Amino acid sequence: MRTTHRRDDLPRQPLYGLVAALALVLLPHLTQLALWHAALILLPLAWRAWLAWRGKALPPRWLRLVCAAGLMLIVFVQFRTLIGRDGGVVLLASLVSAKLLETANRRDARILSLLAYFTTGAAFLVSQSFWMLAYTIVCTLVITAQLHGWQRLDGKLPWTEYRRAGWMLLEALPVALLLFVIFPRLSGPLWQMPADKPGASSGLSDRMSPGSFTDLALDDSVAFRVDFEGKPPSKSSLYWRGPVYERFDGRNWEQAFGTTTTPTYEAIGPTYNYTVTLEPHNRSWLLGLDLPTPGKTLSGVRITSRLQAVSEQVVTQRKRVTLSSVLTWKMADDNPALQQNLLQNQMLPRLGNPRARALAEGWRNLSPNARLAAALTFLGSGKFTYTLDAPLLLGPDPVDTLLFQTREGFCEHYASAFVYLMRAAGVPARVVGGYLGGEFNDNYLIVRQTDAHAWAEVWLPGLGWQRVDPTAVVAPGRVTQGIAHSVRGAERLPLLLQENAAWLAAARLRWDAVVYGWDRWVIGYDTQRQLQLFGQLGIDDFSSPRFIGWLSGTLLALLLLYWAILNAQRSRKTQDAARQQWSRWLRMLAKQGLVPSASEGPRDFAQRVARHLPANALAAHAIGAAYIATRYADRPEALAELRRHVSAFRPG
Amino acid sequence: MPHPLNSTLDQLNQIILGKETQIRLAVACLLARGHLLLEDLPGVGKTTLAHALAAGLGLKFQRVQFTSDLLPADLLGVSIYERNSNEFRFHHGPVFTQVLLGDEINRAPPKTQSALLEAMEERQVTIDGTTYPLPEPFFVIATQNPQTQIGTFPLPESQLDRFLMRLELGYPDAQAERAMLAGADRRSLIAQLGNDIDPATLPKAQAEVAALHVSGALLDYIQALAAATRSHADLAYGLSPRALLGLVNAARAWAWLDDRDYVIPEDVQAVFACVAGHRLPSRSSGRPDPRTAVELLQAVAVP
Repeated sequence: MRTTHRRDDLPRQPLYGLVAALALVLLPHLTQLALWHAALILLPLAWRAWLAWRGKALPPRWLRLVCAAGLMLIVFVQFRTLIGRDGGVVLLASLVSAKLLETANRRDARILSLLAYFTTGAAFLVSQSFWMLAYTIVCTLVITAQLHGWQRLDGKLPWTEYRRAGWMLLEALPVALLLFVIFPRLSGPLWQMPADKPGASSGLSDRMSPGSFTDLALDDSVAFRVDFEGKPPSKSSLYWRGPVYERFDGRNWEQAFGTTTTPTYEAIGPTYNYTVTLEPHNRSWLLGLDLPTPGKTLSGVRITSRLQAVSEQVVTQRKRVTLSSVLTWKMADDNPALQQNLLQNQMLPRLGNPRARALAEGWRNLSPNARLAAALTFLGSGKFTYTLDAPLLLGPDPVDTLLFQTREGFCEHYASAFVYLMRAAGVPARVVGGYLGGEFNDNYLIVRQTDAHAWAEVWLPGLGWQRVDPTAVVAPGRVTQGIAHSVRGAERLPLLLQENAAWLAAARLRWDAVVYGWDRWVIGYDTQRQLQLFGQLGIDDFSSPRFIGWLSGTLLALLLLYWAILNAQRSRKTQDAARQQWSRWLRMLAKQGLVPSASEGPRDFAQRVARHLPANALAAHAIGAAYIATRYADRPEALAELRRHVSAFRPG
Repeated sequence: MPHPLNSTLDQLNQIILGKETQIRLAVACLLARGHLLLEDLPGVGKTTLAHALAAGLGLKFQRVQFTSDLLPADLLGVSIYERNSNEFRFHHGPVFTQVLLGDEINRAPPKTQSALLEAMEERQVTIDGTTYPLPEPFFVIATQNPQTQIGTFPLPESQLDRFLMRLELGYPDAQAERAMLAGADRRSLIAQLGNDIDPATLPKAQAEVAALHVSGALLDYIQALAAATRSHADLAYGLSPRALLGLVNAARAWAWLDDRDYVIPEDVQAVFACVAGHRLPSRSSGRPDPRTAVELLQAVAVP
């Protein structure tokens, strides 16, 4: 085989710049890989820099091929494919790195720089966070600067090139913004975007066991954020309804499956419209205020027969949905098909909890409303404590143990016990999981896992399913003031929820506003929002004359802006008044076809003008002399004369 | 008011015919207190020009033919023990003059070349620990044969940089050559030169040149030219700061000869090729290429 040793013709400094730019660009892709694999991909970079440093020839072709093939093989072994989002991106990174080994002249280097731009763009397949944007901007800056380095003849890469690249990026910003706003969006993703990996404790589960909400209270990560259209309801009525637990096995509550009939309802009071931005939780349920109504609710969202808002797809990435809700309502119970469901909601395990059962059965002769009141009075007797440190209820009768012995519990204990009592008393009841309250950050609400809460719903004749929160009678502060005020064992709460961490909490809220704005306006800018925005401008589709008008108008405005900036820069360079007069004269002469060559001095040019325009010969000499006097003899008094001569000049 | 050297220029033009520009440049070089390198084939009038220049300005003139065995002492002088007075006495060499014509400087060995060049830069000579100042003005006109000829020691770049200007005379045009052939002997014409010139004229003119006004706009131009030489692809390196100083002074002298008390870009353009040409060695050939300076001049815009 013929071995081709390529001579390295590249100046060192821009080459090091290129190596650094590539390392920077590859880094986000390498974070996805095992350490040894990342090191292998970076190896050609270090090798190439070393070769340049020692002034050695590039490796022969067979070795370069072995390198590229080796890197490809590793990708295949690791990913079992060379295409697709993960394998493809790593393959790209590997080959970009290997390409450096055969980069021997300026042309190769420019190609590699363009590949580096592309690789930078691919970093958004790794993450679309605000930080990634900032990082890719730095990458783009470095690539652009070192691309400038190849244009220089002196083989240097001074810092001024970085400044120049920065200016170029700034100049490109308006165009980028325009494209961001108007570029047509695809309604579905081209490929699956990366999901932020949901952790084990990332929210509610489809089963409620004792202690599950206590764990959530210790997790201060954001569950979702809400924007209200108009005035939000009071904080104590912000019950964000999640999964509905109907099946009870004596210890755990689970969601029931199988559809039942949706009760017909009559809304009382105002409808609230709001947009929920949900962090991925790998479940399909959404979180809406009490009773979600079709109202402004978008397609892709379904309201189940248990009055839950659910997404048609599992929420694996951050999701924005607009929902409508009412907080007070009346349900008709004339629907016979509903009876089946109501019966299910009175079922209890045959055995266990004899004392609780006896207590509730004693209320059977009362009206349903009175049974409810009796249960709440029992729980609100002051003997119960709301605590994060509830003892484990391990015995066969957990409800009895809670109600008559330990009397310490968290929301899920009280919700569970209360529903048990209601069912035992013959009132249909179920447990609802969700979140209570939240924290207003300026104009939006942040709801954290800490706000997770469990409450109950009971079916009252004439009213239907109504929300009852037993925790509210045990610890009224939980509803009105939040968890930190009302719970015992609050020192176990996350630092940010404790009251002496106010400044930290404030800083975090401010940062949360930034991240939320990013998610809302950049990541969440999809087809629907684009159409919505265009709708506000009166544009219905992309072929309407109005759209063309807006587009060309904006483009024209941008061009005018650039022109104005360029003009301002030019006039700054020639602030010299004499120079301005001279330029004015040159413009007049340009119409006559008389243009000075770049190196033509003022005297020579004035003489040439005098020869070409004999009628203006005197004026030309006078202008030349006055200009030279002001500019080269530094006689400012000649400026007036220059101005006079130029103003009086009439070519022809 | 026409400057007092006008008549001198006219007289020089009578002796060396058809070389007005070169003569003017040579005089400008002298006015800018710079040394002159003439590079051309033998017999085109280099020596005559040097001789006429000295005579026309009323300066003392010495000529040294550089050969491969010329020693520094032959040029600078030597201390000799005198039996009568029992002491060493310094015998001044030919360098102690106002105009020194160093003929075929590139035939001398580097040691002698450097002795001369040191005298040019310092305007003094140090021998055996004693420093002897050179006369004022001191002006070296060196001639050099084209370096393709055999038996030459080309001047290194550092020494070329000491010459303010490098000129080529070239063949005279047909008409001038005819007039020369028909006219009187050049040597006898030179002998008649300079009898009417006041010895104070040249120092006064040099002082006026040095004081000539240079505006910021002009310095912008000079710096733009310098930047262009420094980033030029085919140039191993650009103009040195010393070269730029020389360029400014030469442009001043040119403006002075034009009866102006300020410098305009045209002055810079007039002297640029002969000031910069020999200081810009081409990367590809290693030798200065006179065309590069002209190209640069055309490429750089007058600000």
